[in-house]
Amino acid sequence: MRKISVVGLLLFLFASCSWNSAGKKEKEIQSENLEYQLMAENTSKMKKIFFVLPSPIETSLLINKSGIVFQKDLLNSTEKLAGYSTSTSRAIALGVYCADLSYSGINEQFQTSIEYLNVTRNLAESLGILRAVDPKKIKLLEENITNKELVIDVISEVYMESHEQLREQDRYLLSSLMLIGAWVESLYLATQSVKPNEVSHQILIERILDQQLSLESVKSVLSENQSNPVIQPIYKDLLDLERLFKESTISKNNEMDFYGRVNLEAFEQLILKVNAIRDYIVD
Amino acid sequence: MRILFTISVLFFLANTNLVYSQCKEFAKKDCKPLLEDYIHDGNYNGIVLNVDEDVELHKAFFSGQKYRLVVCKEDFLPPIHFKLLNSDFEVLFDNKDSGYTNKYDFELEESQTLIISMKFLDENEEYDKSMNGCVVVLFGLKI
Repeated sequence: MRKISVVGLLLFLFASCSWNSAGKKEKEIQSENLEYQLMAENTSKMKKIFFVLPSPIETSLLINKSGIVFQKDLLNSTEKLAGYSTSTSRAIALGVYCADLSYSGINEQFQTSIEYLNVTRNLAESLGILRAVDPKKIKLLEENITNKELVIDVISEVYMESHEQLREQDRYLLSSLMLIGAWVESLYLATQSVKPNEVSHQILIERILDQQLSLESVKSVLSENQSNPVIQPIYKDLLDLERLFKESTISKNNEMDFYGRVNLEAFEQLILKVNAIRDYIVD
Repeated sequence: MRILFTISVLFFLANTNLVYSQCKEFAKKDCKPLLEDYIHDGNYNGIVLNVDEDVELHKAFFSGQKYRLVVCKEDFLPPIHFKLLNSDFEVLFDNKDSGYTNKYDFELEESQTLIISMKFLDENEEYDKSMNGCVVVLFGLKI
């Protein structure tokens, strides 16, 4: 048994050291080619498929381009930070604050952006995410606080590092919760900004209904953990949301009148549902 | 024995994560600059890919937004052939028609989910079939 474990260890070390294909010895190539041949039958027809969620930066940009005014009172209060005591609530909150940060940054609310950037970094650190942003970039940002592109660049780095470091640490549930938190908060900010009966808000209503396209990706992110007690109620709510998205869209024919394409009653139900999901995830 | 097992597992995990981390650093240093005046959306789509593997990315793109798609790979790997397809699998862009370029700028009239289909260029047979390396897809947004 002891010999087996030593051999196992040696095989592990060998396998771990051979990841880089450059400069391999002939024997290693032969060995890997043999391994390749053995695997080829099983893998040759396999295709890796990934679903990509819209980032909160993208959604904030879509809200901003609809001409909607920034509302600070929509943001999740930074005072709630201390209440997030479990890793799951922190991961969701990290996504939520990333969305608030994106919304503030895109709308050039630089002081609010700095406040939410600090909250996001603290929350990331509490989850074991190190150096979510390069310190040199933070220093540069402090000297150029009104540089919108730099602010958004920092936000994109925080979002990417937080999500990826959680994945690198094999904390897939937390990384999924972070993505969902960001997506729900972005949708919340959009739906709370819209006035369904205002003609000037029709573009935003269409952009919100377009988010239906992302729901498939959201569901695929959560589907592996459907039975998890944290995920279960969120997943169920997302299925209700999917139904309301479908009911709100009467037709996708752009040649039709707006009110012929959109069911405003169902859309108002959708707004209420997003509000309820958001309340659930932040409280 | 338990210690040996723990050490081997930890070593394996550390090494896997090292590869993953290196791929992310490659994305930040070598791929992100290709976005130029487009802002990175914050999504990192990086994978260690074998030469014979195919990959598909499904993503919703929204009308009213200009996008840049960047497909980036480590230098020692063969060129990448990528296509942008709609949900009916109609090809909207094929980088083969543009000298296997690694980026594509576009804007859609109608929001829709698109598929980015990628594989290594297989016309060149000189590459070792067991070779693998880092491939990254980034999306840029025009603000």
